[in-house]
Amino acid sequence: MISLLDLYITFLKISSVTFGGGYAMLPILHKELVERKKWVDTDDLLNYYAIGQCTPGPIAINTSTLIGYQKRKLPGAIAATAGYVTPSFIIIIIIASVLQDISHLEIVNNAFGGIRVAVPALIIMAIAKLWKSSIKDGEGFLIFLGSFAISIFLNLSPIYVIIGAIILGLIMKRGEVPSKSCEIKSENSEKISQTQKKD
Amino acid sequence: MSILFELFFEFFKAGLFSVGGGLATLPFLYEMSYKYMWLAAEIIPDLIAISESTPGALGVNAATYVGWNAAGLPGATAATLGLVTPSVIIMLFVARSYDTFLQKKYIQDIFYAIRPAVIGLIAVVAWNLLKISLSSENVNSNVSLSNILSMSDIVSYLISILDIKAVILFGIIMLVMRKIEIHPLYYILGSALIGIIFKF
Repeated sequence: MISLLDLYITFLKISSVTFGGGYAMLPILHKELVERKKWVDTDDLLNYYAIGQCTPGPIAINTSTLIGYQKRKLPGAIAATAGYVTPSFIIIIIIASVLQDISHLEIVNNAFGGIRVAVPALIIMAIAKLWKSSIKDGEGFLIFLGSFAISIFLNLSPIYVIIGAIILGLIMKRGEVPSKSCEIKSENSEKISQTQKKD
Repeated sequence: MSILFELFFEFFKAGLFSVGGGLATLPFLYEMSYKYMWLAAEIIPDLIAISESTPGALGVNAATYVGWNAAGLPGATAATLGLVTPSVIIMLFVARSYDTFLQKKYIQDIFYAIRPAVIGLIAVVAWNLLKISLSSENVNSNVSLSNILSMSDIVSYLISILDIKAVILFGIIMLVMRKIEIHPLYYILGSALIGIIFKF
């Protein structure tokens, strides 16, 4: 049986080498959990990860919780999640407290002046990457436009946009036959095979 | 006490309604900055940059940062716990039927509409960030939209509202991004360096 400490340490390790959020995480998860630890097989991992993408909350946290739960029920879920959160918590607190002391320096202000220009560019790049898999047809594009316009002009809480989208999805797709294979899953399996080729 | 509750509650909401990863939590940060004193909208770009260039989940990094700035260690703990609690609760329900979860029709239907909506919300974040980082700090009051008569008026109007150095850097970054794929961290470090050299 896998110990809670092992779960905690493993997810702490995965988190501390994953830069840039959930999307960078999949190849690292594969290497650690499938190849090294052999806790899950590739198909299971793709399933867990896809569920993490379709459920609320950070993808990495959802995936860790789910794998932790499969191994050791609730204590396992908490151990894996705590492991994933720990490096963020320590590193961010160190950076935030150092920044508090040096934020008045001109050089720091100038550096952040440059960084502030890069941040929107990075987000636009992330949107471009998600675009093809997120917006599949004309209706999808209209939902995108509606969500953008509503939140820019009405200053509405994102919660209402999300709830609206849920209702819209259920109404629009009413009566259609569900697809058997999960599209997100096959997109993700491509990601793993691409990184394996690079290695 | 109340600030800790606010942090926990606001990040709990963000965790519960942000579908599709860390970027989806960013719209909620803007909402918090409108509602509460403990998060200033001006620091959001800095906190996104820090969250993207440190290890771990983007949303968790952002929650820890906001919580720490608002109320120290208890604040960081409250915000981070708030963000991950919905995930843990939801996963307990999902775990029982995880092998059929993705085949459920209502999950597919909901996800079909949520993905474009989330992209729309993130695009608003990008728009807000662009407005702040590209607009000039000292707007020239002599030129305004109402007295534009010619092409050169348009140009001088744009020059007066835009921070030209920032526009050039933004253009260069977008061009580089289209050509080569490197990790976001390098863009952040590179533009920090440019910021220092050219005094942004």
